[in-house]
Amino acid sequence: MINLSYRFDQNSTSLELAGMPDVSNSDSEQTIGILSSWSLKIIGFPLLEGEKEHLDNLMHVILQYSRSYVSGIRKTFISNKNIVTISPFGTNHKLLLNSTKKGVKPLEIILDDSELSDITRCFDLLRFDSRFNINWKLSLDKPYTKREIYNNLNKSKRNISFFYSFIVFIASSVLLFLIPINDKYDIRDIDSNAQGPFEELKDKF
Amino acid sequence: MKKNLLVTTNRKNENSVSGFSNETVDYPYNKCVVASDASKKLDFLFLVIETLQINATDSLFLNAKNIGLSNDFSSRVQFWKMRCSNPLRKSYTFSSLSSDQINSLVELISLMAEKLYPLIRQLLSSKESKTLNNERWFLFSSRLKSLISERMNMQRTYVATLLSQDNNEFFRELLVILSLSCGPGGANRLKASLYHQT
Repeated sequence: MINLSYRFDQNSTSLELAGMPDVSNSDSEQTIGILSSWSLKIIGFPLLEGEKEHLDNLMHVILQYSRSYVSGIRKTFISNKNIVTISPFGTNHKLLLNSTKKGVKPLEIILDDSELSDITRCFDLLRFDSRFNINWKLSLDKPYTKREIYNNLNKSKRNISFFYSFIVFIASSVLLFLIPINDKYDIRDIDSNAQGPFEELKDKF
Repeated sequence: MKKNLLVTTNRKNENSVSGFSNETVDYPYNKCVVASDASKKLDFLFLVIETLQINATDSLFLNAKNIGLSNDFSSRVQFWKMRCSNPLRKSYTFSSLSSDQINSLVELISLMAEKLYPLIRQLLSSKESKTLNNERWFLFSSRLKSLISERMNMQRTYVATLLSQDNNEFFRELLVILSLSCGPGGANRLKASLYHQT
C-alpha cells in the first residue's frame, strides 16, 4: 500500500497529513483518500496530533472564527463534544484543546492575529487541495443577518450609540422647552350687549 | 485492508448523514443583499493595498488582466468610478456596486493580499521586537492617513476621527481582513462579509 504525506507551511505553522489512496473510491496514486495521521506544528507551542475527527473539529472551529472575524464579530466557537474551543482573548485568541483521553489536561494556546491567519491559510490550502479526496465536515462561508451582526457588536460600541441617542434626545427636548409660547390668554365672557366692529354700519343702512 | 474498508464505509455514512457540504460549493447569494458598508470596506482595503505597495494600482490592473477580469478593471477611470461608490470619498458618485463588480473586486483583493501577505503578517505579528514593530506601524499609519486625507471627505466626522485617533484600531482591522482574505478560501470569507442574509 502506498503511503503518502503532504505538508502545508505558512510562516509559523506547518500542517502535515499522511494517508493513502482509497482504491475503492478509484483515487489516483497521488491522492489521499484515507487519512491515517495528521500533525500541526505552531512555533512556540506543543505539537498537535489526533484523529480525523479532531482535525475536522479544529478546522471547523478555526475557519468559522476567521469567517466571523472578517465581519467584525468576535465570539466564542465550540466544536462538537467540546473538543476544540476558540475565543477572543484581549487582542489575541485563545485556543483550548480538550483531549479525548482521560487524565490529560486541556491544552491552552494563545494566538496572535498573524498566527491565526497562518493556521487559517494552512486549512484553506488543505480544503482546496485536489490531492485530497476527503470530505471535511465544514459549513459554507455564509453571510450573517443584520441582527446577528448587531447582537455581536462590541458592547462598548452599542453603549456609545445609545449614549449619543440619549444626548440628542435631551438636547432637542431642551431646545423645544426654550421656544417661547403665548400662554397669557385673555379669557373673557361673551357679553350679549357687546358690539362688533360692523354694528355701527348696520344702524346706518 | 479490513481497517481501510471500515474507514471508507464510515466516511460514506458520514457523508450521507452530515448536514455539512463540501467547501468548494459556493453559497447561493441570490437571497442576500449587499451590505450598506460594502463599498466603503472594499475601497479602504484597496487603500491599505496602496499603502503597502507603491504603484499598487499598476499591479492591480496587471493582475486584473491576468485573471481575465473585464476591461473595467484595467481602466483607471472605470476603476476610480467604482471606488467612488464609497460615501466617504470626496468625489462620491451616489452609485452602488453590482454583485458582479463586488465579485471581481473581491477576487482582486484576495490576489493582492496573497502577494502582500509577508508584509501584512509582519505588521500583525506580536512576536517581533517592539521597537521595530512600532516603526513599521508608524510608517504604515502615516502613509495610510495621508492617502485618506487626500481622497476622503474631511468634513465627515468619521474620516476626521480616523485621522485623529492614535490607536490604529480600524487600520489593524483592515489588515486582519486582508490577511484572512488570501486565496480562494479567503475570497469566500470576504465575499460573505459584504452581504447580509435577508
